[in-house]
Amino acid sequence: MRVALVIGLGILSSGILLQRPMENTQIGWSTVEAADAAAITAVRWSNGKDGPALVASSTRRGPGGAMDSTLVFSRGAGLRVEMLAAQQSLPSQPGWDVAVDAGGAPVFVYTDAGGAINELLLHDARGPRPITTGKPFESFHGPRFVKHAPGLPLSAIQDQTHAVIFKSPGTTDGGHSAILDCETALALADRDTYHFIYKTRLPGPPRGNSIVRGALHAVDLDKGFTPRTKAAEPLPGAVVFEYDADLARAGTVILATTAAGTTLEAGTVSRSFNEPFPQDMTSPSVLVSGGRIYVAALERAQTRSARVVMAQFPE
Amino acid sequence: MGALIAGIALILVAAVALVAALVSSKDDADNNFGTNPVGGPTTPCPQIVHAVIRIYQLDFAGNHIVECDEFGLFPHPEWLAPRTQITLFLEIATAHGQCPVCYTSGQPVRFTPTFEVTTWPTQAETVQVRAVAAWRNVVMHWTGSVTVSPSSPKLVAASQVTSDVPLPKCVDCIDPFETAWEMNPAGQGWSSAGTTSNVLYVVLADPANLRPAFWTLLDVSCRAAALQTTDTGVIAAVYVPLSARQPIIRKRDGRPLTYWGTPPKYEETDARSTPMLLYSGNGSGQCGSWANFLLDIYQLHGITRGRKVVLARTKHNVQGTGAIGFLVKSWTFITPPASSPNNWTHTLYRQCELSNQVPGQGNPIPPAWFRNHFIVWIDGRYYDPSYGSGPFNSQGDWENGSIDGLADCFAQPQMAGFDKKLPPNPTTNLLDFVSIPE
Repeated sequence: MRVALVIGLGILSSGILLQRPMENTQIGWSTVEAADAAAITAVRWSNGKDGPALVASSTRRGPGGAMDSTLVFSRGAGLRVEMLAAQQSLPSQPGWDVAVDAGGAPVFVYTDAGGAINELLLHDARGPRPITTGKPFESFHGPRFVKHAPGLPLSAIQDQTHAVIFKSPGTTDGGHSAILDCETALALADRDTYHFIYKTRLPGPPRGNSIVRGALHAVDLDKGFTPRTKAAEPLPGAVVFEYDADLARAGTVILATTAAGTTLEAGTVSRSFNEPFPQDMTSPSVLVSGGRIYVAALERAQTRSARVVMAQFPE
Repeated sequence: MGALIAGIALILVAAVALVAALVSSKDDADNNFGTNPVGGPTTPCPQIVHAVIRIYQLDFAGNHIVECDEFGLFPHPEWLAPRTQITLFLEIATAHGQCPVCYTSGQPVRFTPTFEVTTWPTQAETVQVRAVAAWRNVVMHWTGSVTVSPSSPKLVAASQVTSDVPLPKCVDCIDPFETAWEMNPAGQGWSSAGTTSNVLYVVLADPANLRPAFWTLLDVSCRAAALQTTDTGVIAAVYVPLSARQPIIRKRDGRPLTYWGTPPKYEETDARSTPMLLYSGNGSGQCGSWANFLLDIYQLHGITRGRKVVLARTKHNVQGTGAIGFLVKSWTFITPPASSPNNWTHTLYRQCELSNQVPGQGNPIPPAWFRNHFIVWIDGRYYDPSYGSGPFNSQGDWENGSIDGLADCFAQPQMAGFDKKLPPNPTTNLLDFVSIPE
């Protein structure tokens, strides 16, 4: 009898452990104080030598008229500490990313609009330098550093059609190779594998002017950035606009703005956010550092009621 | 004596009984007349009712499904009687509340008609159906039949029917494409069975390279190139609305499509392809989207020899510092007189002034300089759909017609030079043109 009871309890408890834990508590956003929230076009977490820091981008008009525009990256209190100001060839809202080099200094990658062709620039303490491809007139957008990979390889979307990887950007042999067809993509280095998360387009209205709606997929790449698994859907059925990801103990963490609101997937746990304007969230960013998950986004970007929001919690 | 009286009484009673029987028999005969054979039962003649049907829906076949400007494919059936709007994320009310249809020229028009039964027949019968459509000098007929019985459901479908003549071998926009239906139940005579109405686009040849039949591209090109029978005719005709810088209206929401936005909104122009131009919220696109717009129109009509051309100061010009751009007309090199045709001789804005801006599609003031630009080449000539300029017979013609010199965008101060009017610049190409394979 006692044995049966113990066995029964064991079966019951193992059944509980095998169930996927669902987190019902919504995450609450906190406002990040910003000197000019309405001017901020995107935010990104960066893990510098001083720990996680939120970096914001904006554009600044110059005295030279409508064509005089400068891309500005800032951080710190009020997001007003200017990290970098780069003159633009044409006023635009470029795609960009930020990482830290081996010495802990920030490195930026961003697109520079030429009118027809978007080019990629790597910008660090030495200044800006082009990411050459050897083939003129290839156009790129959506650059993302491969997280946790030494040497700062980065992915980008070429000619609006497919993702490419620059294994050694900014060097003389900085060529690129194609990965797969998609709208946007990012990669996470995880030992000998790269977790590649990408979006394919779905028909329907964009969010804002041009954030296309899509479906999210995930595939593992080998050391040569070749897909070696079948694609999975980390957010099955969700209409996704933007997303970011990082590695955590529980697995890949994905923060995504979706048609139903912002969602955080950490391994098998799914969490939503308490947000008053779920259809007006853009620029999601997630960083896992020191046992904590840091998330941030923009609410009602580039309007008078714009807000930079963030949250952090244990992994 | 008593026996006599009794006998007479019996005779009288018998006579009365006989008379009563006869009267009853007559009543029975009267009441049962016609129902009984010679006094047996009869049945009344039945009233015959014939079917009445009306056209309810048309499912077109052999057509190219029209894509609703990046909001999805228009659904089947293309015509539906109760439909007043089509829901594709947003309420989209077409001019006739129905889906646009697209065929290749020279093809027959086929569809499966479904009818709504409004009166059921008393017995199963064949209902002949026919339809006619007429536009310009074309008359098209369809004939078929449908069986309707007392137990038929409310909707009955006929077999697919094919037009007796194909579409003419020319581009067209048939607006409206109306079919007038008639029915003839069991040979009782023809009567109206309703009408259908769609917009029907006719492309010159089958769309090439699996390009979607975007609604806006169909509407712009088929209206502009109506009655064109050759691809050279189509190429010339579809450029007319771009050349005239007529408003190019996105069909799904009626928004004008523009080349860039206006300041200070330049940075909100992000579209670099036809799909991006069609799904963008503000409908404003860079030159790449307009070049693709024109090339995709060609491909919609089966024309594949167009090429996208990118131009810049040098094809080896790489990005970054010291980027050189070209000045889009009209800039004037005022002072001082240029010391050299091949140098940075004037400060931008102060010594080289923007005197007038060439308008782009739907935009009077697009950006005044670029580092690179997309145009289109086809059949030996260059077209610049962003501005509607051209066709140009040579690179030199495009340069003389489009730019006034070069600018060093990142110099401090910004500099201008290479005045296009200074010899030898009118006959010297300042830019490299590179054709990108499609």
